[in-house]
Amino acid sequence: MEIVKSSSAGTLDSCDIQIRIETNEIGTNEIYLKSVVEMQFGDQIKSLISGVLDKHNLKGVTVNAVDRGALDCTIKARVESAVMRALGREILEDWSVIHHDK
Amino acid sequence: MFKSSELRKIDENDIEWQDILDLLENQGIKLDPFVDQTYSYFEGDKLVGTASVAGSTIRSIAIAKHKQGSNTLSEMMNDIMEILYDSGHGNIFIYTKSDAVRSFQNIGFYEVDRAEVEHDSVVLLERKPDGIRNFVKTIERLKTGHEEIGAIVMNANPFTLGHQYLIEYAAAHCDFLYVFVVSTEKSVFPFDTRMNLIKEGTSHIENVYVLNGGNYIISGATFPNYFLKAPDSATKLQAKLDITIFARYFAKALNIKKRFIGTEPYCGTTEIYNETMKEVLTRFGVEVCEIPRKKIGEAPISASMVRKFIKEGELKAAKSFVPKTTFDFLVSKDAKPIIEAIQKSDSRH
Repeated sequence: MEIVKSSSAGTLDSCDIQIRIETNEIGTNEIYLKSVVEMQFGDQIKSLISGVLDKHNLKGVTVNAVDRGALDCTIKARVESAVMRALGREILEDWSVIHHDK
Repeated sequence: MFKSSELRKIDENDIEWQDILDLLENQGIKLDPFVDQTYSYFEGDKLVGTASVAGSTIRSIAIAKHKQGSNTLSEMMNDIMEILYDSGHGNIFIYTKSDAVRSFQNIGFYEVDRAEVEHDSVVLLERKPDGIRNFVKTIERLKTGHEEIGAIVMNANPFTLGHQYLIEYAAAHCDFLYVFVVSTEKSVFPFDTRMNLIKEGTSHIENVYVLNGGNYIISGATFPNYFLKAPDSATKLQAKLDITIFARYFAKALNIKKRFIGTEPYCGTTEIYNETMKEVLTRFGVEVCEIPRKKIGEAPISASMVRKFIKEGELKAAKSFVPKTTFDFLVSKDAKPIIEAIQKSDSRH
Protein backbone atom coordinates (compact mmCIF):
# COMPACT_ATOMS: atom_id res chain seq x y z
CA MET A 1 0.00 0.00 0.00
CA GLU A 2 1.11 3.54 -0.73
CA ILE A 3 0.50 6.28 1.79
CA VAL A 4 -0.99 9.44 0.32
CA LYS A 5 0.05 11.91 3.00
CA SER A 6 2.01 12.32 6.22
CA SER A 7 -0.10 11.83 9.30
CA SER A 8 -0.11 11.96 13.09
CA ALA A 9 -2.06 10.29 15.87
CA GLY A 10 -1.86 10.39 19.64
CA THR A 11 -0.50 12.97 22.04
CA LEU A 12 2.49 13.52 24.30
CA ASP A 13 0.32 13.10 27.41
CA SER A 14 1.19 10.55 30.04
CA CYS A 15 0.13 6.96 29.17
CA ASP A 16 -0.23 7.85 25.49
CA ILE A 17 2.01 7.49 22.44
CA GLN A 18 2.41 9.99 19.63
CA ILE A 19 2.87 8.58 16.15
CA ARG A 20 3.99 10.46 13.05
CA ILE A 21 4.10 8.62 9.73
CA GLU A 22 5.96 9.89 6.65
CA THR A 23 7.36 8.41 3.45
CA ASN A 24 11.10 7.99 3.11
CA GLU A 25 13.55 7.54 0.26
CA ILE A 26 14.92 4.24 1.48
CA GLY A 27 12.12 1.90 0.44
CA THR A 28 12.05 -0.02 3.72
CA ASN A 29 10.24 0.82 6.94
CA GLU A 30 12.12 2.65 9.64
CA ILE A 31 10.90 3.05 13.21
CA TYR A 32 12.35 5.70 15.47
CA LEU A 33 11.29 5.45 19.07
CA LYS A 34 11.71 7.68 22.10
CA SER A 35 10.22 6.14 25.21
CA VAL A 36 10.38 6.59 28.95
CA VAL A 37 10.53 2.80 29.15
CA GLU A 38 12.80 2.25 26.17
CA MET A 39 15.23 0.06 28.10
CA GLN A 40 12.48 -2.26 29.30
CA PHE A 41 10.00 -2.29 26.42
CA GLY A 42 11.70 -0.63 23.42
CA ASP A 43 11.84 -3.77 21.27
CA GLN A 44 8.31 -4.78 22.19
CA ILE A 45 6.91 -1.36 21.22
CA LYS A 46 8.80 -1.37 17.92
CA SER A 47 7.55 -4.82 17.01
CA LEU A 48 3.96 -3.77 17.78
CA ILE A 49 4.36 -0.79 15.46
CA SER A 50 5.94 -2.77 12.66
CA GLY A 51 3.21 -5.41 13.05
CA VAL A 52 0.56 -2.83 12.16
CA LEU A 53 2.62 -1.51 9.23
CA ASP A 54 3.07 -5.06 7.88
CA LYS A 55 -0.64 -5.80 8.23
CA HIS A 56 -1.31 -2.92 5.82
CA ASN A 57 1.57 -3.94 3.56
CA LEU A 58 3.28 -0.57 3.97
CA LYS A 59 6.80 -0.11 2.63
CA GLY A 60 9.10 2.89 2.64
CA VAL A 61 7.60 4.70 5.61
CA THR A 62 9.34 6.29 8.55
CA VAL A 63 7.57 6.24 11.90
CA ASN A 64 8.53 8.77 14.54
CA ALA A 65 7.09 7.43 17.79
CA VAL A 66 7.25 9.20 21.15
CA ASP A 67 5.96 6.93 23.88
CA ARG A 68 4.84 8.10 27.30
CA GLY A 69 4.19 4.72 28.81
CA ALA A 70 1.25 3.66 26.62
CA LEU A 71 -0.29 0.19 26.96
CA ASP A 72 -0.05 -2.23 24.03
CA CYS A 73 -3.67 -1.68 23.01
CA THR A 74 -3.12 2.09 22.95
CA ILE A 75 0.00 1.69 20.85
CA LYS A 76 -1.79 -0.46 18.29
CA ALA A 77 -4.77 1.86 18.16
CA ARG A 78 -2.63 4.98 17.67
CA VAL A 79 -0.55 3.39 14.91
CA GLU A 80 -3.72 2.09 13.27
CA SER A 81 -5.25 5.61 13.29
CA ALA A 82 -2.10 7.17 11.89
CA VAL A 83 -1.93 4.56 9.11
CA MET A 84 -5.59 5.08 8.20
CA ARG A 85 -5.06 8.84 8.02
CA ALA A 86 -1.90 8.34 5.95
CA LEU A 87 -3.89 6.17 3.55
CA GLY A 88 -6.66 8.78 3.41
CA ARG A 89 -9.21 6.23 4.64
CA GLU A 90 -10.04 7.49 8.11
CA ILE A 91 -13.74 7.89 7.42
CA LEU A 92 -14.44 4.77 5.38
CA GLU A 93 -13.35 1.95 7.66
CA ASP A 94 -15.45 0.03 10.12
CA TRP A 95 -13.26 0.54 13.17
CA SER A 96 -14.76 -2.22 15.27
CA VAL A 97 -13.66 -4.76 12.68
CA ILE A 98 -10.12 -3.45 12.50
CA HIS A 99 -9.49 -3.90 16.18
CA HIS A 100 -10.74 -7.44 16.37
CA ASP A 101 -8.78 -8.95 13.51
CA LYS A 102 -5.41 -10.62 13.91
CA MET B 1 -9.61 13.42 30.56
CA PHE B 2 -10.34 17.06 31.44
CA LYS B 3 -7.64 19.31 30.14
CA SER B 4 -7.29 22.68 31.84
CA SER B 5 -4.29 23.82 29.82
CA GLU B 6 -4.62 25.97 26.77
CA LEU B 7 -2.49 27.41 24.00
CA ARG B 8 -3.36 31.00 23.06
CA LYS B 9 -2.15 33.35 20.37
CA ILE B 10 -0.66 36.48 21.84
CA ASP B 11 0.79 39.77 20.60
CA GLU B 12 2.17 42.98 22.05
CA ASN B 13 -1.33 44.40 22.58
CA ASP B 14 -2.30 41.72 25.09
CA ILE B 15 -2.03 42.47 28.78
CA GLU B 16 0.01 39.30 29.29
CA TRP B 17 2.66 40.38 26.77
CA GLN B 18 5.02 41.70 29.44
CA ASP B 19 4.70 38.38 31.33
CA ILE B 20 5.85 36.56 28.20
CA LEU B 21 8.89 38.83 27.87
CA ASP B 22 9.70 38.33 31.58
CA LEU B 23 9.37 34.57 31.27
CA LEU B 24 11.81 34.53 28.37
CA GLU B 25 14.22 36.95 29.99
CA ASN B 26 14.34 34.96 33.23
CA GLN B 27 15.82 32.13 31.24
CA GLY B 28 18.21 34.19 29.18
CA ILE B 29 16.23 33.81 25.98
CA LYS B 30 15.52 36.62 23.56
CA LEU B 31 12.26 36.86 21.71
CA ASP B 32 13.15 36.37 18.09
CA PRO B 33 12.26 39.60 16.28
CA PHE B 34 11.00 37.89 13.14
CA VAL B 35 8.40 35.38 14.25
CA ASP B 36 5.06 34.92 12.55
CA GLN B 37 3.15 34.19 15.75
CA THR B 38 3.88 34.01 19.47
CA TYR B 39 1.90 31.62 21.69
CA SER B 40 1.32 31.60 25.42
CA TYR B 41 0.54 28.41 27.29
CA PHE B 42 -1.75 28.56 30.27
CA GLU B 43 -2.58 25.99 32.92
CA GLY B 44 -5.77 27.26 34.49
CA ASP B 45 -5.15 30.99 34.66
CA LYS B 46 -1.37 30.67 35.19
CA LEU B 47 1.08 31.41 32.39
CA VAL B 48 3.44 28.40 32.32
CA GLY B 49 5.10 28.61 28.93
CA THR B 50 5.65 30.38 25.64
CA ALA B 51 6.89 29.56 22.17
CA SER B 52 6.91 31.30 18.81
CA VAL B 53 6.62 30.08 15.27
CA ALA B 54 8.40 31.32 12.14
CA GLY B 55 7.70 29.35 8.98
CA SER B 56 8.31 25.73 9.89
CA THR B 57 10.51 26.54 12.89
CA ILE B 58 9.62 26.83 16.57
CA ARG B 59 11.76 29.29 18.48
CA SER B 60 12.05 31.37 21.66
CA ILE B 61 10.68 28.52 23.76
CA ALA B 62 10.47 28.89 27.54
CA ILE B 63 8.75 27.04 30.37
CA ALA B 64 8.19 28.59 33.81
CA LYS B 65 10.81 27.47 36.35
CA HIS B 66 8.41 25.57 38.61
CA LYS B 67 7.07 23.60 35.63
CA GLN B 68 10.41 22.49 34.23
CA GLY B 69 10.86 18.76 34.35
CA SER B 70 7.10 18.21 34.29
CA ASN B 71 5.06 17.32 31.22
CA THR B 72 4.29 20.98 30.45
CA LEU B 73 6.90 21.35 27.71
CA SER B 74 5.67 18.20 25.95
CA GLU B 75 2.03 19.26 26.13
CA MET B 76 2.73 22.73 24.81
CA MET B 77 4.95 21.43 22.01
CA ASN B 78 2.35 18.83 21.12
CA ASP B 79 -0.22 21.58 20.52
CA ILE B 80 2.17 23.74 18.52
CA MET B 81 3.34 20.85 16.35
CA GLU B 82 -0.28 20.03 15.62
CA ILE B 83 -0.82 23.59 14.36
CA LEU B 84 2.27 23.41 12.14
CA TYR B 85 1.47 19.95 10.74
CA ASP B 86 -2.14 20.98 10.09
CA SER B 87 -1.05 24.06 8.19
CA GLY B 88 0.89 21.82 5.82
CA HIS B 89 4.49 21.87 7.06
CA GLY B 90 6.04 18.46 6.41
CA ASN B 91 8.97 18.95 8.74
CA ILE B 92 9.37 21.04 11.89
CA PHE B 93 12.61 22.64 13.05
CA ILE B 94 13.84 23.86 16.43
CA TYR B 95 16.73 26.20 16.82
CA THR B 96 18.11 26.03 20.34
CA LYS B 97 21.10 26.12 22.67
CA SER B 98 22.97 22.90 23.29
CA ASP B 99 21.88 22.50 26.94
CA ALA B 100 18.22 22.28 25.87
CA VAL B 101 18.75 19.61 23.21
CA ARG B 102 17.92 16.67 25.46
CA SER B 103 14.39 17.90 26.26
CA PHE B 104 13.55 18.16 22.58
CA GLN B 105 15.11 14.82 21.70
CA ASN B 106 12.82 13.26 24.29
CA ILE B 107 9.80 14.46 22.33
CA GLY B 108 10.98 13.08 19.02
CA PHE B 109 13.27 15.74 17.56
CA TYR B 110 16.55 14.74 15.93
CA GLU B 111 19.75 16.73 15.61
CA VAL B 112 20.74 18.01 12.17
CA ASP B 113 23.93 19.77 13.16
CA ARG B 114 25.43 22.21 15.63
CA ALA B 115 27.88 25.12 15.70
CA GLU B 116 29.88 26.95 18.33
CA VAL B 117 31.33 30.44 18.42
CA GLU B 118 33.32 31.20 21.56
CA HIS B 119 30.97 30.28 24.46
CA ASP B 120 27.82 30.35 22.43
CA SER B 121 26.37 27.30 20.82
CA VAL B 122 23.43 26.58 18.61
CA VAL B 123 21.81 23.32 17.57
CA LEU B 124 19.33 22.71 14.78
CA LEU B 125 16.84 19.90 15.40
CA GLU B 126 14.22 18.53 13.04
CA ARG B 127 11.14 16.39 13.56
CA LYS B 128 11.75 14.08 10.59
CA PRO B 129 14.10 11.50 12.07
CA ASP B 130 16.10 11.21 8.85
CA GLY B 131 15.09 14.49 7.17
CA ILE B 132 18.51 15.74 6.17
CA ARG B 133 19.74 12.31 5.07
CA ASN B 134 16.62 11.80 2.97
CA PHE B 135 17.06 15.18 1.34
CA VAL B 136 20.69 14.36 0.60
CA LYS B 137 19.58 11.07 -0.97
CA THR B 138 17.31 12.94 -3.37
CA ILE B 139 20.08 15.26 -4.50
CA GLU B 140 22.65 12.45 -4.67
CA ARG B 141 20.83 11.24 -7.77
CA LEU B 142 22.07 14.39 -9.49
CA LYS B 143 25.70 13.53 -8.81
CA THR B 144 27.92 13.76 -11.88
CA GLY B 145 31.22 12.11 -12.69
CA HIS B 146 33.05 15.38 -13.22
CA GLU B 147 36.35 16.15 -11.52
CA GLU B 148 36.17 19.77 -10.41
CA ILE B 149 32.68 20.44 -9.16
CA GLY B 150 31.58 23.88 -8.01
CA ALA B 151 28.56 25.32 -6.23
CA ILE B 152 26.87 28.67 -5.79
CA VAL B 153 24.03 29.48 -3.43
CA MET B 154 21.89 32.42 -4.43
CA ASN B 155 18.65 34.10 -3.58
CA ALA B 156 18.54 36.14 -6.82
CA ASN B 157 15.84 38.56 -5.80
CA PRO B 158 15.69 39.11 -8.80
CA PHE B 159 18.32 37.59 -11.12
CA THR B 160 20.72 40.32 -12.36
CA LEU B 161 23.65 40.57 -14.75
CA GLY B 162 25.80 40.29 -11.62
CA HIS B 163 24.37 36.84 -10.85
CA GLN B 164 24.72 35.86 -14.49
CA TYR B 165 28.35 36.98 -14.52
CA LEU B 166 29.09 35.03 -11.32
CA ILE B 167 27.57 31.86 -12.78
CA GLU B 168 29.36 32.29 -16.13
CA TYR B 169 32.66 32.89 -14.36
CA ALA B 170 32.22 29.93 -12.02
CA ALA B 171 31.07 27.58 -14.80
CA ALA B 172 34.20 28.49 -16.75
CA HIS B 173 36.37 27.70 -13.73
CA CYS B 174 35.07 24.24 -12.93
CA ASP B 175 33.80 21.22 -14.86
CA PHE B 176 30.28 21.26 -13.47
CA LEU B 177 28.37 23.81 -11.42
CA TYR B 178 25.38 23.41 -9.09
CA VAL B 179 23.34 26.54 -8.40
CA PHE B 180 21.28 26.18 -5.21
CA VAL B 181 18.34 28.57 -4.99
CA VAL B 182 17.29 29.79 -1.54
CA SER B 183 13.82 28.34 -1.07
CA THR B 184 12.54 30.32 1.92
CA GLU B 185 9.70 32.61 0.92
CA LYS B 186 10.93 35.74 2.68
CA SER B 187 11.86 37.61 -0.49
CA VAL B 188 9.59 39.81 -2.55
CA PHE B 189 10.16 37.67 -5.64
CA PRO B 190 8.63 34.26 -4.92
CA PHE B 191 10.76 31.12 -5.10
CA ASP B 192 9.33 29.82 -8.40
CA THR B 193 9.96 33.14 -10.11
CA ARG B 194 13.51 33.43 -8.79
CA MET B 195 14.26 29.86 -9.85
CA ASN B 196 12.80 30.35 -13.34
CA LEU B 197 14.67 33.59 -13.95
CA ILE B 198 17.94 31.87 -13.02
CA LYS B 199 17.18 28.95 -15.34
CA GLU B 200 16.23 31.24 -18.23
CA GLY B 201 19.22 33.51 -17.66
CA THR B 202 21.68 30.60 -17.65
CA SER B 203 20.16 28.40 -20.36
CA HIS B 204 23.13 29.28 -22.65
CA ILE B 205 25.60 27.67 -20.21
CA GLU B 206 25.84 23.91 -20.59
CA ASN B 207 27.55 22.71 -17.42
CA VAL B 208 25.14 24.34 -14.96
CA TYR B 209 22.37 22.70 -12.99
CA VAL B 210 19.91 24.88 -11.05
CA LEU B 211 18.23 23.25 -8.05
CA ASN B 212 16.09 23.98 -5.01
CA GLY B 213 18.21 24.60 -1.90
CA GLY B 214 15.39 23.20 0.25
CA ASN B 215 15.19 23.54 4.01
CA TYR B 216 18.86 23.11 4.67
CA ILE B 217 20.67 25.85 2.71
CA ILE B 218 20.22 29.47 3.87
CA SER B 219 16.68 28.77 4.95
CA GLY B 220 14.48 30.12 7.68
CA ALA B 221 15.63 27.03 9.59
CA THR B 222 19.40 27.08 9.10
CA PHE B 223 20.04 30.81 8.83
CA PRO B 224 17.05 32.93 9.94
CA ASN B 225 19.13 36.11 10.32
CA TYR B 226 19.86 36.13 6.61
CA PHE B 227 16.45 37.68 6.21
CA LEU B 228 17.02 40.40 8.82
CA LYS B 229 18.14 43.88 7.87
CA ALA B 230 21.16 44.20 10.10
CA PRO B 231 23.50 41.52 11.44
CA ASP B 232 23.45 40.88 15.19
CA SER B 233 25.37 38.75 17.65
CA ALA B 234 23.69 35.55 16.46
CA THR B 235 24.50 36.06 12.80
CA LYS B 236 27.95 34.49 12.90
CA LEU B 237 26.69 31.51 14.85
CA GLN B 238 23.88 30.90 12.38
CA ALA B 239 26.20 31.38 9.42
CA LYS B 240 28.55 28.80 10.88
CA LEU B 241 25.74 26.30 11.33
CA ASP B 242 24.44 26.84 7.80
CA ILE B 243 27.86 26.44 6.22
CA THR B 244 28.74 23.41 8.33
CA ILE B 245 25.57 21.70 7.08
CA PHE B 246 26.49 22.63 3.51
CA ALA B 247 29.97 21.15 3.92
CA ARG B 248 29.03 18.02 5.85
CA TYR B 249 26.04 16.98 3.74
CA PHE B 250 25.89 18.80 0.40
CA ALA B 251 29.56 19.14 -0.52
CA LYS B 252 30.12 15.51 0.44
CA ALA B 253 27.10 14.13 -1.44
CA LEU B 254 27.84 15.97 -4.67
CA ASN B 255 31.63 15.99 -4.40
CA ILE B 256 31.71 19.79 -4.44
CA LYS B 257 35.25 21.16 -4.37
CA LYS B 258 34.68 24.88 -4.81
CA ARG B 259 32.08 27.33 -3.60
CA PHE B 260 31.88 30.58 -5.51
CA ILE B 261 30.73 33.84 -3.93
CA GLY B 262 30.56 37.45 -5.05
CA THR B 263 32.33 40.12 -2.99
CA GLU B 264 29.88 41.90 -0.73
CA PRO B 265 30.11 45.68 -0.70
CA TYR B 266 26.57 46.39 0.53
CA CYS B 267 25.16 43.93 3.01
CA GLY B 268 26.64 43.39 6.47
CA THR B 269 24.85 40.07 6.96
CA THR B 270 26.17 38.58 3.73
CA GLU B 271 29.62 39.92 4.53
CA ILE B 272 29.72 38.02 7.83
CA TYR B 273 28.36 34.96 6.02
CA ASN B 274 31.15 35.10 3.44
CA GLU B 275 33.87 35.59 6.08
CA THR B 276 32.59 32.64 8.10
CA MET B 277 32.44 30.53 4.96
CA LYS B 278 36.17 30.92 4.35
CA GLU B 279 36.85 29.78 7.92
CA VAL B 280 34.60 26.70 7.83
CA LEU B 281 34.82 25.37 4.27
CA THR B 282 38.60 25.32 4.18
CA ARG B 283 38.50 22.85 7.08
CA PHE B 284 36.27 20.55 5.02
CA GLY B 285 38.55 20.76 1.97
CA VAL B 286 36.25 23.00 -0.05
CA GLU B 287 37.86 26.00 -1.68
CA VAL B 288 36.10 29.39 -1.44
CA CYS B 289 36.48 31.48 -4.59
CA GLU B 290 35.49 35.10 -4.09
CA ILE B 291 34.77 36.89 -7.36
CA PRO B 292 34.74 40.70 -7.60
CA ARG B 293 31.29 41.94 -8.49
CA LYS B 294 30.53 42.92 -12.03
CA LYS B 295 30.23 46.69 -12.32
CA ILE B 296 28.37 48.92 -14.68
CA GLY B 297 30.43 52.09 -14.75
CA GLU B 298 31.40 52.60 -11.09
CA ALA B 299 28.47 50.79 -9.53
CA PRO B 300 28.67 47.09 -8.59
CA ILE B 301 25.45 45.39 -9.70
CA SER B 302 23.17 44.15 -6.97
CA ALA B 303 19.62 42.90 -6.75
CA SER B 304 18.85 45.44 -4.02
CA MET B 305 19.75 48.20 -6.47
CA VAL B 306 17.38 46.74 -9.04
CA ARG B 307 14.63 46.63 -6.41
CA LYS B 308 15.41 50.26 -5.56
CA PHE B 309 14.86 51.29 -9.17
CA ILE B 310 11.61 49.36 -9.19
CA LYS B 311 10.55 51.02 -5.96
CA GLU B 312 11.18 54.44 -7.40
CA GLY B 313 9.17 53.52 -10.47
CA GLU B 314 12.19 53.65 -12.79
CA LEU B 315 11.94 50.28 -14.40
CA LYS B 316 13.86 51.56 -17.43
CA ALA B 317 16.89 52.34 -15.27
CA ALA B 318 16.92 48.72 -14.11
CA LYS B 319 17.16 47.49 -17.68
CA SER B 320 20.94 47.81 -17.95
CA PHE B 321 21.43 45.80 -14.74
CA VAL B 322 19.44 42.66 -15.59
CA PRO B 323 19.54 40.08 -18.39
CA LYS B 324 16.89 40.36 -21.10
CA THR B 325 15.06 37.36 -19.61
CA THR B 326 14.63 39.12 -16.26
CA PHE B 327 13.63 42.42 -17.86
CA ASP B 328 11.03 40.69 -20.02
CA PHE B 329 9.57 39.26 -16.85
CA LEU B 330 9.59 42.60 -15.04
CA VAL B 331 7.52 44.24 -17.77
CA SER B 332 5.15 41.26 -18.03
CA LYS B 333 1.72 40.97 -16.49
CA ASP B 334 2.95 38.35 -13.98
CA ALA B 335 5.34 40.86 -12.41
CA LYS B 336 2.63 43.39 -11.55
CA PRO B 337 1.82 42.16 -8.01
CA ILE B 338 5.54 41.86 -7.19
CA ILE B 339 6.28 45.37 -8.38
CA GLU B 340 3.39 46.73 -6.35
CA ALA B 341 4.69 44.89 -3.28
CA ILE B 342 8.16 46.39 -3.71
CA GLN B 343 6.75 49.88 -4.03
CA LYS B 344 4.86 49.43 -0.78
CA SER B 345 7.49 47.74 1.36
CA ASP B 346 10.74 48.89 2.96
CA SER B 347 12.35 45.59 3.94
CA ARG B 348 15.81 44.38 3.03
CA HIS B 349 14.42 41.54 0.91
